[in-house]
Amino acid sequence: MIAYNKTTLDNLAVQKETTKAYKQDLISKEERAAVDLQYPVDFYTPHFFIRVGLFTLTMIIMSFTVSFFSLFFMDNMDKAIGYIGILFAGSAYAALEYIIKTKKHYRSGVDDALLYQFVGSLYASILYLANITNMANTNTIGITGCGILFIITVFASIRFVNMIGSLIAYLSLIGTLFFICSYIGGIVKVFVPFIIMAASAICYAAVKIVSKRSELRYYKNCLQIIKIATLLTFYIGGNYFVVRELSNTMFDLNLLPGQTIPFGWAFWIFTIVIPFGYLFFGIKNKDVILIRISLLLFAATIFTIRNYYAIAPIEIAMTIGGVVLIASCYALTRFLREPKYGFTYKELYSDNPIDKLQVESLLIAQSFSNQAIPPSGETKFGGGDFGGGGATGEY
Amino acid sequence: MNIPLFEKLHGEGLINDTSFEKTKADPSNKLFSLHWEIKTLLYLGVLLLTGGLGILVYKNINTIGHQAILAFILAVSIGSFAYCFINKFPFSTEKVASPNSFFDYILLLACLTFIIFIAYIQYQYNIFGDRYGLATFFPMIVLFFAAYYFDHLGILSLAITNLGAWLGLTVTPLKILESNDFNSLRIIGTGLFLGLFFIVIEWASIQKNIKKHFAPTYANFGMHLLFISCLVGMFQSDHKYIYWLFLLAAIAYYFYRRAMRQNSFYFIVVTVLYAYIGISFVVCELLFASSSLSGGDSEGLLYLAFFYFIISGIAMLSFLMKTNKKIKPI
Repeated sequence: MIAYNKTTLDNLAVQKETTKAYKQDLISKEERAAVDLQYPVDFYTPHFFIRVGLFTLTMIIMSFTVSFFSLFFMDNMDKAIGYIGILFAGSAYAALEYIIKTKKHYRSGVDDALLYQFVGSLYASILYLANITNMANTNTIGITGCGILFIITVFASIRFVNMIGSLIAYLSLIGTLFFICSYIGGIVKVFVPFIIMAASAICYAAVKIVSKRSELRYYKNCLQIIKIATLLTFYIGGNYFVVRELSNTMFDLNLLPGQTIPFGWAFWIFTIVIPFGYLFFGIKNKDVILIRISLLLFAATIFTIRNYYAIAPIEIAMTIGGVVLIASCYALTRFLREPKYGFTYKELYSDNPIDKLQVESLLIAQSFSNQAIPPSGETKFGGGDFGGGGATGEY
Repeated sequence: MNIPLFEKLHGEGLINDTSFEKTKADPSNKLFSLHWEIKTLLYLGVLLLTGGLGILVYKNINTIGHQAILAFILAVSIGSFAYCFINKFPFSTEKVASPNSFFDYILLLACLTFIIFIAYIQYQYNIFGDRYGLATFFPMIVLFFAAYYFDHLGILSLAITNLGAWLGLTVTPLKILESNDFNSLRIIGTGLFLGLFFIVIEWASIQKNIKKHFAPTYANFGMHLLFISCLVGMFQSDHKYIYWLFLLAAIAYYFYRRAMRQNSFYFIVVTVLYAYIGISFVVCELLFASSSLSGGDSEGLLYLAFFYFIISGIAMLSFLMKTNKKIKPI
């Protein structure tokens, strides 16, 4: 089922663990080399940045190739374009299988780009050939669109073990469900949020169960990202803001400001309780995903409440929020000065290629540099100022 | 660590007893790190607080409350700086580890509130008069001082963007293209100069061994500034792009050589992509120039241009793959 060689994937997992252990000085260089010899990996996986470069270039090559051949059909483009798209998807797929089988590409940037182009152009051309824009109403468009996307991405994620593919597959499944409920209409519409929440919970449980099966070990990351998505859709399904505004526009409720929705109280409870629930179970089970998502959802809950009950103007709320956040981090850092209950504030292990780019410092420059420029007029650049420039460093 | 796996490797005789015991005893098996969670929360906290204070000051200009706000901002700044001076590790020209993440973000808060304070008193009391340059210059000095004295890469990046602002240039990573008026040759010249300046500083940092670990930050800003200024100069020049092409080739050669020397994949990929943009621009310009000479067979030209991109893309692809083989990561 999987396009990549399974034994090599297993060996790769072994090598990853031993590399990690080696970098933490747990095993010796010779031991690591011995393991590498015993569990060989012949995949072509270049360095992360080369992968980015190869990805970009493959995208350029493939786009210009399809444009080049489209030029021949300039005169009756509207008839030909759907078939060109299918043909293009077919050739991208053939190229993908070829480079994986013979050149042993694995996460090289080339296979990523080919996979996305295959999925993208196949999906777009099927929709074009099915003449989706002429369909009767939003619900049928939604069901067809999400359903087809689901089928294609399920195939892509099973065959190529792709995380983004599995994420889209899950989301399009939820989308299909939503549009089916909306299509049936009547009383079902009122229960759409609960149906979405129930579906998320079922998917979460299912992922949890199948994650334990050893024959699905290659899909660990795919299942992980679906797990994250189920936790998010469970919250979104119960979030007061989402439910109110979405049912207002999708189901034409025409609510006035201040008016509420059926079961409004239930959604307020969900909005507030879910983040706390995630945080509780995250700390209890030491589940990093649950902890991080709960932090994100606390922010979402605060925005939801503020949207309907603004107690203080935005700048006061921001200032107070900032002080509270910084103070609680201070308290947490003090509390965890010595590791307590198995938690620490210190970094244990990091081997992230992006870390070497010092992303944190770039992020700071990006988000705070607006404040760094006083509201003055034009800055002058002259010979005198220029001399000062040399003196700014400490040399 | 995946203990069952190491048990298996140990059984196969690939890992000896001491290493296996070490792996089993590794603290990361039992400990759970909240490092990144705390960092993110601190980042958000500083973002919210400084953003909130900035708006607060802006909205309350000319009201009675503004002096209280000003005093509050100054108090936050002084308090945070005081915390940093008390808790810092001794200064050294080598890399100094920060006591903890909290320290890093309090230092950031101190610097940012200080900048807001300066901007505000300049706006309200006009202390620097019409010498606007001074109003940017002064915070910049403080930022550079804080970056070096407390050893903080984030503040160094802020200081660098501020240096750009002082020279009338936006070097904030995602705004470099949209915020600059690249039509003027003066901006392009400033960009080239500043890029070169950063490369010189980078070289000096390594040579004199002053905060060597700051060097990649300077090199990164310098590289992007040089390439973008050169490319923009090329796009703006009417048919004089050939001179800019020579400049681009020189810059690309320099960065290619140093990337190979330092085994840096990042510099290789960035150099290759910028050079590719420049070359493709020149090729397209030449193609369109030849079409206007020959009377304009635009369709055939389109074929040629597309063909060029397919062939050159494949060439670049294989070049990157070959280079990847040559570089061995450390």
